[in-house]
Amino acid sequence: MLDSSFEGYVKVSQSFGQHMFTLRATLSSTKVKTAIKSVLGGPIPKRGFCDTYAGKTVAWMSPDELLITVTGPDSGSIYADLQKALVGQHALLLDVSDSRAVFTLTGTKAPEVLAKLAPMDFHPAKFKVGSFTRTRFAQVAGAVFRVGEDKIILICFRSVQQYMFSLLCDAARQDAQVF
Amino acid sequence: MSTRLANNGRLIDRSKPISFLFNSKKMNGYEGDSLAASLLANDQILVGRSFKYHRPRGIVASGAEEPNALINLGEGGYFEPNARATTTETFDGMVAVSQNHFPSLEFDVGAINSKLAQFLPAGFYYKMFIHPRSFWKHIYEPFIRKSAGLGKAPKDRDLDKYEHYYHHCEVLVVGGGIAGIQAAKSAAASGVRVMLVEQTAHWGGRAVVDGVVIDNIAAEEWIKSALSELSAMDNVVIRNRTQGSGIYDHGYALGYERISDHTPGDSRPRHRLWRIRCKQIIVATGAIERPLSFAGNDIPGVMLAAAVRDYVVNYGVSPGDRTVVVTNNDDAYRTAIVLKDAGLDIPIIIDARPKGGGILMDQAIAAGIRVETGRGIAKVKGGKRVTGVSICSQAGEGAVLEEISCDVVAMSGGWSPVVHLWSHCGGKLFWDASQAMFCPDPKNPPLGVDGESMVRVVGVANGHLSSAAVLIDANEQGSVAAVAAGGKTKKLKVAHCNDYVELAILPVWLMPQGANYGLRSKSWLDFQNDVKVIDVQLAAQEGFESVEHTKRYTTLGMATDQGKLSNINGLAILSKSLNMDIPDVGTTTFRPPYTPISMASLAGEARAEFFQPIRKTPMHDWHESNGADWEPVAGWRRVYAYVQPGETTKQSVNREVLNTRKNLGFLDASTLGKIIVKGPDAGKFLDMMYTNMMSNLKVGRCRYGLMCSENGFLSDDGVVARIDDGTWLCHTTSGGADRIHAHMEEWLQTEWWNWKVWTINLTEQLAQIAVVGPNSRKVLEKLGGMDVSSEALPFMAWADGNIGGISCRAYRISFSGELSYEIALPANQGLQFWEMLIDAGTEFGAMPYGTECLHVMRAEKGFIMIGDETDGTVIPQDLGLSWAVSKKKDDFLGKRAQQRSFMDNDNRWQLVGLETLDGSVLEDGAYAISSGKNANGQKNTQGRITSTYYSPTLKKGIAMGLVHNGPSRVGEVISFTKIGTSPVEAKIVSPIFFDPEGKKQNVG
Repeated sequence: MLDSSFEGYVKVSQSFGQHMFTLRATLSSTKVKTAIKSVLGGPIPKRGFCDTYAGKTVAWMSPDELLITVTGPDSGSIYADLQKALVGQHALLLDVSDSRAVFTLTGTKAPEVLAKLAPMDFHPAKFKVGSFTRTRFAQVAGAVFRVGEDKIILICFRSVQQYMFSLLCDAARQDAQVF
Repeated sequence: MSTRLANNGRLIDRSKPISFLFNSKKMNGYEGDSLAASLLANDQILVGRSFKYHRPRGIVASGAEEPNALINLGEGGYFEPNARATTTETFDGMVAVSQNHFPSLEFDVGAINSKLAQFLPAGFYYKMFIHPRSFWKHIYEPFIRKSAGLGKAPKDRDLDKYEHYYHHCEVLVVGGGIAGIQAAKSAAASGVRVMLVEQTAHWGGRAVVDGVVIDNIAAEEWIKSALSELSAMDNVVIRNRTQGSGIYDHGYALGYERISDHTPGDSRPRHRLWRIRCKQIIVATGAIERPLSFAGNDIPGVMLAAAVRDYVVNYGVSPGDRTVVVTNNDDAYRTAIVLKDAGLDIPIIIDARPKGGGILMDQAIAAGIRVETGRGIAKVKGGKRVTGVSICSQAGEGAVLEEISCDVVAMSGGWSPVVHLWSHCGGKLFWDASQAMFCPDPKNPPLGVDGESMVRVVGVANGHLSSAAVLIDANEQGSVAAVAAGGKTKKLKVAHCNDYVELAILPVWLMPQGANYGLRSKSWLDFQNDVKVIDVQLAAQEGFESVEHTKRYTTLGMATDQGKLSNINGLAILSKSLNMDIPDVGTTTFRPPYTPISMASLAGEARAEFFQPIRKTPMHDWHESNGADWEPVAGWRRVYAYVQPGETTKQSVNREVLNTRKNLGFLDASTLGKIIVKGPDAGKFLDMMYTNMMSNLKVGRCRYGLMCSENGFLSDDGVVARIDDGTWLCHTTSGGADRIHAHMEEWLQTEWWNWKVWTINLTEQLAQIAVVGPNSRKVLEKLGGMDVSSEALPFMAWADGNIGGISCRAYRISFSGELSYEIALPANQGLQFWEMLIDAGTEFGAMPYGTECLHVMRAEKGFIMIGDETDGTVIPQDLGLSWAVSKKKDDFLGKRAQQRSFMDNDNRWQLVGLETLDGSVLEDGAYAISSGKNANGQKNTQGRITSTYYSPTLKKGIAMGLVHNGPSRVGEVISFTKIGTSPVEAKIVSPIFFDPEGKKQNVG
């Protein structure tokens, strides 16, 4: 599918083609940590954060769940590598790429647009670059990554992607600036 | 007459004249006017009619406390009733219409009620409408409904936009007067995040109008520089036109921003609801002036003293040429002095206090104004506007000493701090007898999560009437709040104010104090709802001792202003009638919001296309363009039937059933829940979750399973597939996907936390398509890629493979009784696969089918449906599903409950098939009638219908139902209710109506 976008006082765009894997495992386990590091190239992020290692983003979902996002052609092999590295561990790794929709908000006021829909605190001191939080947007569940000062990536379930896109565009329309 | 003055008017821009319509009459104003100011400037003294007696009503106040000046505003999709003229900014082209009168504002036939006032006493409705009982429905209720409400209800859809905004800060300051500004400065200095809100368009509150001087500069200049200081700080948000509307538990507050009420149609949102999370709230909401209770105090032209000077100073509008000031405190003298300075006539100041006031009184006398002390108003003269007053001794009973003509009466009965927000979340009050006001009791504050005070009240709202004390209080508490919210201690120097020393107020609850019945019956407490002094006295006499009961009996304070002017005066009258002290009577409860806020702001964006998110399957758009008649299922839209041109929906369903049974049908089953369960303990876990055994399911095979609640009731069902040694896939109902996943996680996280099991809800990841009918195998073989023969894929087996070039998982399962496959594949390829099937299926007579066809087919086979056959009170054994409840397992959720005597018992309503004798379709939910009647005189019942359809296959009505001891009564004929007609007879039969041997689904 082609990316679609909307230019309001913040730019809203939907992108396709990311690969996402959900991993359920005991993140405090040394063996699990080693397996993750060997494939993704870095440690498991702290609670409330995501870390990126060469195009592979790992986000902390809960004490026993990670969301791994991979772009590019080698995503299939990373999935297989992870599976191999986790053999013998009590872990569940699944491809959830098709279950999610991905949106990017770009602009200095990206947090302001999201604050109309999500009850969380987007203040830069509370939601720093590198932060990752599960929250809700109006009436649907979602999660946000702060990739940069002016760039936030948001994910939600695919079944509500049209609602989500329209909602974001409506909140970002030029005449609805708050500050 | 009221008019625009040549001088004054700090808030208006005389270079920007505007015009508007009031009751279709063109009027002029200036930008910056409130509608109330504009109306007064056009000599529009009469602005509405009261609720009960349709008395003429004029503007009383200048702010949120206004009870009278309520108007229908705007037209069509921009129409809104009950807009308060004092808080509505006038704009060019505004259309305003007065309320509650017929045929016109000037001549209102409803005013006859006023003449009948003696027959409409307090509690009239309770007394009148209770007898005779039979009159209620057709006479009383329609009458009451007709007279209910002031403004008109909107008829068109609201064309404006609304939104929410979630704001987080440490300290919220409500009120933009000098107290709020000082508190915000003080709190902000500590470094924490501060938000300061002000409900009007202008900052500064009363200080500017009242000529306060701070650090030797005019309040207006001080406010300006303080605000620019605050705006420059990164940690401060300031917002005017934003009311702090409500305070709730745990530092949650609501702000109500009126963004474009004054610039309609400029495409900005109209209102924004601020949902604020903070640690500390500072309430700096000032005070509201109280009216005095004297005869005729409701006649247009009788106004609050401070409001009169507000109109002069802020808008350059004089409410009248000759103003009589009547007061029990020093503050009203300011009004006299301001009016005199503006060149208006003050024939007299009537001060109820025997010795009058202090320095302000001396100034008034020096300005040449006549002051009479120890006097009161016996009566105001006039009808639709004031023509004069009769003066009496305050200590007497109303004997007239003198009559003075005037067109305005400016009254002041003292001030009541706005303690509403403090009280919203449990803050208590104490009665300050020396100032005659209820003040926040700092010993009983609203408490936060930590058990400490989360709200602080500062300034006038905290009972400090002098500016110097206001600033000291605000500065101190701003800093304390900031520290409590995590800020650093930093004390600012407080500015100095020179205040006039004011003499004490004399509480005056009735004027004159010995007013006779005739005068008291004309002394209003609640102007909007027409509650008079005698009404409250009657309530007390009739035994209504509680202020809350008196409120409801008399409707005191129940109008749209929620008693901002009337409450304190009313409870003072009540306390006197009961011979109690005011604090012992207490106040009624203050509830949010502070003033009515728009319903649309509460809804925010959640209307029209955003009213509710609709979950869409990967094939949603295809369905949409192929005649889908939708039904909502668990947040999704599913196709009820694909309606072809010229068909009724019913005909479509029949066609889909017959075609699927004869040829081939496709169903979008993507909404079904799909949960992966994996781990060394997954088998043990599923044996607990399901009533039947899942641990012994072979890899590659499927099994139908039931899940019960702990109480044994059937909760969900679906097919479980064993994927590999450690992994199972559990299908749930569409509505059950999230619920069952949460149910599994709850047991894993709270009870069996040491079991090694992981779950992931894969529902959204997979598209699932049911390929159903005698030709189903043919179409899959035509697409090719995997062996779907009965040898390779027997009934209740699954296999991974590739069909038509798309990798997928094929399940040989059937919910229709036909040869059937369910194909699961990645959602992004769902549409492509669906379209391939539709194309390839043409030669086999393929048609897509919807959920109603699915329902009919499963009912023909006697398969139960969660939500139809179950309702939270039904156990598997009731549904003939004992075969799916393991007898071997030690335990599963629901096992113990199902052993209770009334469950482990055949003496229950149990599932049977039902066929009417005449072939008609029974009503859904119809009851089976039994003999005799119950304790309520209703007929006894012995069962009810759970599913009922017309079966196109069998060409007659079929139904399933729960009937008492049903399975043992096959062949018996019983009667079912039918609304509006006589009962229908039906025979009890087996619930399996079609192909009982299951030959069709097991075809080789």
